[in-house]
Amino acid sequence: MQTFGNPMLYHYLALGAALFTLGLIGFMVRRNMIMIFLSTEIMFQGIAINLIAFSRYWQNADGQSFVIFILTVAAAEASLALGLVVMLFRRRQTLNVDTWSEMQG
Amino acid sequence: MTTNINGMCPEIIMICGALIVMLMGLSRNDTVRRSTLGVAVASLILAFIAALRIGGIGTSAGWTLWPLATYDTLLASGVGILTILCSAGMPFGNEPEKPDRNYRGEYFALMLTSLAGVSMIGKTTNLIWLFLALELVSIPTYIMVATGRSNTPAQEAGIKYFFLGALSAAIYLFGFSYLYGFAGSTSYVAITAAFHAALATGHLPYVAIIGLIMVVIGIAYKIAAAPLHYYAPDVYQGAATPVTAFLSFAPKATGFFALIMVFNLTGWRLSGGTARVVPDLLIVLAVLTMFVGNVLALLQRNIKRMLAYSSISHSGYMLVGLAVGPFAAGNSPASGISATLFYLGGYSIMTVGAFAALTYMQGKSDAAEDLDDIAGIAGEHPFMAACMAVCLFSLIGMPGTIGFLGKLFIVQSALAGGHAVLAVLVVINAAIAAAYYLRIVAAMYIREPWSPFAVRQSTTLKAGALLGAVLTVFFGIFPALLFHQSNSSAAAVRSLVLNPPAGGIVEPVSRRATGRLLKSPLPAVAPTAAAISKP
Repeated sequence: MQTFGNPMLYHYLALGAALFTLGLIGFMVRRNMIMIFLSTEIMFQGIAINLIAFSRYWQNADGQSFVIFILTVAAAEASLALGLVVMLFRRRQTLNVDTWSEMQG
Repeated sequence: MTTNINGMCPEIIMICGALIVMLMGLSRNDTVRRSTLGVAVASLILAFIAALRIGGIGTSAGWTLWPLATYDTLLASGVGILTILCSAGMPFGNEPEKPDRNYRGEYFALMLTSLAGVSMIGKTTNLIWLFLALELVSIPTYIMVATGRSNTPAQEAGIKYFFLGALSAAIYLFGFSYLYGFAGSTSYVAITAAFHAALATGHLPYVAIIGLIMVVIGIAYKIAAAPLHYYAPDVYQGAATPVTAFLSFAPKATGFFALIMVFNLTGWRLSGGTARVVPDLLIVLAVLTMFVGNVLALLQRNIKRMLAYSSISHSGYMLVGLAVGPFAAGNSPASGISATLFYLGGYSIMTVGAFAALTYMQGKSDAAEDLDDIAGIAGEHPFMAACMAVCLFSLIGMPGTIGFLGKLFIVQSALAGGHAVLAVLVVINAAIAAAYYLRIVAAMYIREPWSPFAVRQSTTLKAGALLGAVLTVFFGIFPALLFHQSNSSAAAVRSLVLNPPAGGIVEPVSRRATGRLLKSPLPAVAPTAAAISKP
């Protein structure tokens, strides 16, 4: 088996899972709202890689069309995220999420 | 995916209503903006009628769950009317000196869009469609939480809800991508066939099991099941009370219908071998959710937080029905799915009714939150206190209300399905829950008022609370109308599972060559047009 030049399905799945995990870790450790949102975007990219790899494997276009829908929804979520972040920044002049924890219990 | 367009009629009506409401909300005329509420209610009534009339017409190739889809649409539009009645005067925090900023219409437009998503879940025939419907429900609710009232708790709730919502979407999408990888198609028919073939060999590939677990975890967030419930109390407390009412209904209904759709793919037969882990996960989620919700609710003094934990515990009861599955107790209201669907309908009505009454009690700032805010309110506002008390008694599960029948069916289904321990745990939890609901009732009726009450004088709100209370008792005494719907939905699920639609197995070129899913090389040549077209 050649290591390079002949990628297997699981190489792509490993990449997708790695991106997803990195995004998940970033989501939990980052405190900046924009970085947290970008972490979720990285998770979406990991999913997109999974879908495209499977799409190639099964030789049909379901996965690729799924990716296009995911990108569209992610764009809608991005615009919403920026709106929310701007709204919150105006109120507190900081992007740190730790300043937004009034409610406890 | 040849669904008859007639079948989408209710959703089309809701989206058209949303567009009209959004345009009217831009008007300079205050009266036009005020009337957006009426237009929203009218479009939901039309959607309700349309759902009743098209009940049996539509067909979708090989995948016929019309009773379930109809129940979903009736629930979305019916309870939707209640949630809109209880949002009279939204968004709160109006500035009287700036009349152009009062009575904005987009709130109702967002609500209608979200309800169209709820109503679409039951009609999905494809994972892509399911994903779009789930996001159509979620995205408007993020905006509703963040802008429903203009104070910092609402914005904090909005950002928490948004980020965790995006995370949950990523988790269930990861599951969807593995389910697609397992079956080779996103269509329900093909995935069902793949599960059927794999379960017949007694070995379900890990791809499918991991996919299912991720989907269940992602959707468990939507129904606020423990341990993914931690956002719910903050969001329920921070959002304006009508938005909280909407949140206690829409994402929950979406989540349960989506879970039913996903488990339909597996044929509800995951009892053998490694696949066992998925039903076990449901049982663990159900038990954790019931106890976490009820025990933490006991510690709260904030009513909205208390009702948030209560909504978590009710998710636990409904998960018990899901864990039992569609086969126990056969064709009676006590089969697991039927009990869950009945409970979902009943729970939505009673919880929205309670929130409508709570919205009416304005309290110190713009919403009654603390138990002190409503202490002794029964003396001054006996009508609303009575509506609230009826809904709370139903949430406890008093006989004569819909909550009692819901719990009865859940317990019966657990016993029939051989989960006697789950049945006992449901009963224990119902007893724990009585304590904190009765604290609210006691505060309203027994304690002395310590400050004058501010209430939101609105006939619409009163009508919403009255309708919630009346329906709670009406369906408690005449449940047949509701459980006819839930029962026929469960029967449709059973017949679909017992006679899965034929065909749809996808066989890739590369698997024929190697026989192993993960170790096979990706085909080097670009797929031909013939290969791209769906088998």
